[in-house]
Amino acid sequence: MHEASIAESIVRSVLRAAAEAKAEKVESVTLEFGEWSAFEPAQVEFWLKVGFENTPAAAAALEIRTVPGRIRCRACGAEGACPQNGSGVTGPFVGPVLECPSCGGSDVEIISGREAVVKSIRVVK
Amino acid sequence: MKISIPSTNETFDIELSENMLAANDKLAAENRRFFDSRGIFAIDILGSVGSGKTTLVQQFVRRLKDRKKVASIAGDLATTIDADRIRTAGGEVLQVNTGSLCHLDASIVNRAVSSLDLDGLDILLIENVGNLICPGEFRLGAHRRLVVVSVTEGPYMIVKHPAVFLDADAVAVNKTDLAGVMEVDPERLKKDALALKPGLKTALISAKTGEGVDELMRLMGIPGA
Repeated sequence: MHEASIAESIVRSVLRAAAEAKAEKVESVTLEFGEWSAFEPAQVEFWLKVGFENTPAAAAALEIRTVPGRIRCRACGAEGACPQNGSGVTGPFVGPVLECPSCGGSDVEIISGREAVVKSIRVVK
Repeated sequence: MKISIPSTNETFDIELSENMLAANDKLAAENRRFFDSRGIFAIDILGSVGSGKTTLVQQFVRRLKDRKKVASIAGDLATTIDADRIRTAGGEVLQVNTGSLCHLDASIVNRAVSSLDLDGLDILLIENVGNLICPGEFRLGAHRRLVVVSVTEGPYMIVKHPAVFLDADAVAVNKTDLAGVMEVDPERLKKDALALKPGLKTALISAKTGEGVDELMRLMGIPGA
């Protein structure tokens, strides 16, 4: 259900920008979600369709892009993608390991991959 | 907001780059500044319904209350069960009912804190709404995020909820006293958590018997632990 609350924020943001630009309708909306965000694109899309009903964005095409996850090591300063867990090592688990790809340190910070961003909209005046 | 050159006479691309989580993140940062200015150490506690969050909060309160002033916020959809239980352990407790909302967010914590007695408060325990998916995205401004999983939830709780551990500082594998009957290896759950985030502090505990709770509190750096 948290997709509904993020969709509500997206609807507000899109309609405000369209109104400020005095647009007649919104043709498309481009969103960016981090690969590690817990927002399921199909669910967000569903709630956006509900939210855009009877608004200038009712017919807008949605493009949802995925932002790859990246980390920075606080010990050696390296930045990059995480090593991945493969299946077999930890049972069915496939996903990132939050450790430095360079020095193997575990004091890392996430620099991308958690986004929920309205990137741009295309409007018709 | 930047309006680019029209691609036709009528169609415009508007660059927004608006972060939908920014409002919550900003409020979370405000909460953190507020906690810091008052010397309050705040802990966000996540876990599914039945994982043992409330029992663990009771253990924390009992262990800390003679040395520190402790208050708790109990997040739940509809009931006051959690707050009533924590109250038996001591300290001030505030129940926050979220209705249909599946997580606490920074604004809820902000409002809740303003109705607590903050005078001399040292430690704030925030028990989040019971699920391991939604609360992960909404930072509250706490100093530590603790995730509680128990062996009674089966062997896959960690691998099936990877996102929530990204922001976690510590993981408590709970109900180790039942591991034998459940045929779930607590060490395996711990290994799963470390495979995702090697920097996590992990402890095997039984919130019911109290085993491992002191160790968990030390690992988390809770003042007075």
